[in-house]
Amino acid sequence: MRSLFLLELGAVLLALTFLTRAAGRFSFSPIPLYLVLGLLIGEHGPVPLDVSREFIDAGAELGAILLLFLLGVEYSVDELTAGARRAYVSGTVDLGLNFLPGFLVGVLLDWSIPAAFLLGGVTYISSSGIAAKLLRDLGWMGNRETPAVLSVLVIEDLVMAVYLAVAAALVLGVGAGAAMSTLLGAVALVVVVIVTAGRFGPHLSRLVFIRSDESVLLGLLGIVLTVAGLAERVHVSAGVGAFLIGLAVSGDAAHRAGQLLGPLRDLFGAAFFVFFGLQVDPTEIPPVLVPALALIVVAAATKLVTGWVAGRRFGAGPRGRRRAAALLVARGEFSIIIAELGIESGLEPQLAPLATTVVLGLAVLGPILVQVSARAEKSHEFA
Amino acid sequence: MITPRDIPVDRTPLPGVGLRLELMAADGNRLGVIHLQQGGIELFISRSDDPDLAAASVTLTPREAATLIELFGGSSFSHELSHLQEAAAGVAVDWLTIEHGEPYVARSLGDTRLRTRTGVSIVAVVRDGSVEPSPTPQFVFAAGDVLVAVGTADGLARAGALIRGEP
Repeated sequence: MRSLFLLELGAVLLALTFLTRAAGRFSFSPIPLYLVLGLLIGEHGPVPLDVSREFIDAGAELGAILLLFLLGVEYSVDELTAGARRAYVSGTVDLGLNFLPGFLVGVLLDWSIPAAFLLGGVTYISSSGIAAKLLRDLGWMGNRETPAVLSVLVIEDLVMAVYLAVAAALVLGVGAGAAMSTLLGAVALVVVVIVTAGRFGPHLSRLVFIRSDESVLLGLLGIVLTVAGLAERVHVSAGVGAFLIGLAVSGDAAHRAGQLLGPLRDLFGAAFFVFFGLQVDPTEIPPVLVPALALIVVAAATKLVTGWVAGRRFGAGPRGRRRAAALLVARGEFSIIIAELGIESGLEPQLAPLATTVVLGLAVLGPILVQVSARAEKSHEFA
Repeated sequence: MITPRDIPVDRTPLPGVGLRLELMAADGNRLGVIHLQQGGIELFISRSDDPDLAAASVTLTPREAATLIELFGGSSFSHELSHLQEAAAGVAVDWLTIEHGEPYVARSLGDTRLRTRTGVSIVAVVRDGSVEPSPTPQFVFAAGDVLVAVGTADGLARAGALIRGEP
């Protein structure tokens, strides 16, 4: 049995290699492909592979933490606060329009409020990974509407830090009073980290970044996991802890952290998405297909409206607004992180298949919409 | 960053990406650079039929960017000077252009008596892309010369008026 472990893990990694290559060729996100692979090799899937669950489980947990840590590393505290100030109107429109569809579908399906709250989060948060990749691949960083898109994504990430903390409290099923104190604790933690990161961030960065690559890698991982673990102990989700410690790392230190931990994130991030797919029984998808398709259409439309509004507020013309709209449609990594909370807690059996279908649909539809609008631009280039 | 005063430069932070600096050229094209957090500089030019869209973008290493700046000639000078401005608080740097038909065309730096009248020093003159550092009082101006002037903000304003022949 033991000897099969390496073989199967190797096979899974090779399968992932082909998927990322295929995704790269079409400038697509590999995330939906990872999910599908997980669905296929899960115990209920057509090709059940008996890969060590514990190994992938641990890898997936690391993956989720690294995804959020490096998300925090990408931003400085100043960028977050400036972004929030510049785009709070778009950010509010975004939250209202895109949280409600998921939440309402959950309520209509007669789910518990915490489960509906999680589905709202799934439809709310755009995939900053997919959007950023499309912006780079298409050479759109110089576009007028690009800051609008990035600002909306920044606000979503800030909101998510608080959202994950609230969701963690709701999922635990603690009473209203305890939930309130957890929420206040989370908000206090966010504020404390943002303030101390502004003041002591450079010292922290220097502390970690003095020795060889190995000790930096180990030191960073050690700090991230310790803070994430502590956050979990006080019922503020581990991911929030990782995101906040990422914010505190800035400047050259952030650059080095990205170089060293980026490959680890890619490896364990892939494990995370595959693991999520593993847990979903594909036969549970057809029963939720109708609400899922409806949600895909509505959640795509609400993001289109959000992008249009955000683009207009940054002074972009109709074509720029259309591009901004299409860029926000894709949902991905963070929707899956939120849905994973629902699986862990066993809140609502329909949540995982529904969320999987919605994310699959939107992670594919979003880039297609963007490519279509890019083609439309090409056709009258230099006309 | 110092730029000639009459062309407004938009600074837009791109969270997670870098800082974008851009301007509108007189021919209606938007162009600019993005200083990437990852290092390097992206240069972009908008499309004339859709000024919101970057038609072309090129990513340059810092060395390539420095070389390109040198190709632009005088601008490399502004790069050097930006450190000077940071170093001295209360001292500003400005660009003063000698336009056709203005009173000091074909007259010398000494004739302006700029330092006596406004306290402003001319530290360099940029002509056709080449730089004349520390011009002497005998230096004779030509139309199109760009004077790199250092002084107080108030002094610079008066120097600009003096060069244009305004009272």
